[in-house]
Amino acid sequence: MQKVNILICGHKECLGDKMDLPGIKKHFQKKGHRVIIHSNFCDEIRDTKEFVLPFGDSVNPVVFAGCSPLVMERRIKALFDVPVEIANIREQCAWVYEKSDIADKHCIDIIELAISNVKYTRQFTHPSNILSERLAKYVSLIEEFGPNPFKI
Amino acid sequence: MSKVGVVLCRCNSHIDSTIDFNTLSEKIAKNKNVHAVIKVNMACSPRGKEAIAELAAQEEVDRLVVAACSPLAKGAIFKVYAADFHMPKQHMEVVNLREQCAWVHDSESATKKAVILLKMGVARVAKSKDVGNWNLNCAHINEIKCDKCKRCVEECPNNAISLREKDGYPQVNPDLCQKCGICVGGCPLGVISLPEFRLEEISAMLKPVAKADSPAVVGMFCEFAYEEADVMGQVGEKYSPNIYIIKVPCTGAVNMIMVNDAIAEGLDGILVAGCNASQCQRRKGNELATCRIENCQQSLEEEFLEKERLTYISLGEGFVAPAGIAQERCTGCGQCLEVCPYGAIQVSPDGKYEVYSSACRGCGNCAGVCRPGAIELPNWSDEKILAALDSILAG
Repeated sequence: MQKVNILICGHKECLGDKMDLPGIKKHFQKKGHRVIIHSNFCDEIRDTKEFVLPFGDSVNPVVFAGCSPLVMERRIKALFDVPVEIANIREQCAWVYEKSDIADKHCIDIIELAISNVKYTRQFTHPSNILSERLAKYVSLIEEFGPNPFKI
Repeated sequence: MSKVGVVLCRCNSHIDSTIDFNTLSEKIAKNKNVHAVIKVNMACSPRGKEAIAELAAQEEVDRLVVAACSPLAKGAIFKVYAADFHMPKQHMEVVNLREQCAWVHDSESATKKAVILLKMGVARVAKSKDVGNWNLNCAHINEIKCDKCKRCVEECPNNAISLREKDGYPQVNPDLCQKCGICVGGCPLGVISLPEFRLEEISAMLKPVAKADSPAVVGMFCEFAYEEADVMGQVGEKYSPNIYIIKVPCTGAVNMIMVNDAIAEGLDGILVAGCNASQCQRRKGNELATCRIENCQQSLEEEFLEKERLTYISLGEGFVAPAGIAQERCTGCGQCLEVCPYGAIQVSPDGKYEVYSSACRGCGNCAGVCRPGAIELPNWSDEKILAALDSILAG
């Protein structure tokens, strides 16, 4: 079985203390995966220039367990040089289950699913910034024209 | 007067690490429509919802502006909040301070822009109407002002509008209406609205932009172009802070009345961003938009204004990994060509079916109809889905 690197964002304000993250970490370590629990991954990625790969030079794919892919999937994927899959353990786990044991079990299932998916996931390709080019061109043209006479 | 509650979401410091929330809340509190301003961390979380519910109940606000992430990210959740607070969904506005502000501009520009964006949101929500009786959820024609010109009937790409026999007024078939807004954009009298897209609201949003630093440009972006602007924020690409983007259902929904309002307000430029040629999911929204823009440009020139102040650009290309066709498995049945809503499948001179990668939006319609399984989506192969099912069943 292909080993993956699992990065769990354990930010207390997001997840609360419902889930037993060290226990979940052990569960996946026993299967041979490398697991890191980060205290607040948002802090880490706020400045992408200072971002340091948490798994060093490892070429294994990464599963990021944290918030929903709707929040910042591309932002996270763009940070890594390997395929990345997101496991939504916040909106679909921590925020919906009252009981810890159910939350833990569901969290493990969600991460397992992401591990299965990441084997088929391609590495993120950085999109070209067409918008910026077109905007810059347009704004400089408008600057040349000067302000709208109706404004004056 | 409406009582607007403003919620500033810190988004785990993604927003307030760039935008100065103190300046923002001070400036927006001065707005005559704003009744209360609160700061929360993660408005989308259960705790965030509690804080907003408290604001709605204790301050008796009847409208809410949530300044947070893109409406494409958590917008649906905030609309659900509105329903939970017994508020019409039109009375909830989401202002995108994250993807299109904090993540793409430096602190000073982002704070300045955030003030304008928030004022635009407040202006819109203050003009919003409770359209509860439009529960049909389709375009609405104000018959009192309609002059029965029939343009909406001719331009609707879904044939959802027909003339009523008894009085000749156009009527909308809610089963066919896709809420694309092409009728809204085409109506010369501006009497057609969508439940969540009314010309009065958009025109109100333009006023704060006119007061922004020059050159003040408003962008009317279709959903795909808007998503592309969001993607640029997500991948950390910067762009000019002079543009204030308004999401429209389709570029075909941009009515030239709005454009004239923008020019009259003193805006320096209006950029309409939509899809390229065949790519419009609404079938002909972009074609109609470009045609209307050309006509409007002539009017601008007659007013001795540069026609480029109103410009159409095509975006929405190349930010989605395209589908691919395995030629050895393709039987040439042509089903993919039939179903592609974006015209992204082409037949090469030697008869091979190929994906025009810039036009592909990765929707997967082609992969779904391909019987020999020759079409592959980069991140959604059959093997991946089957393996995922195995994983779930094993759990």
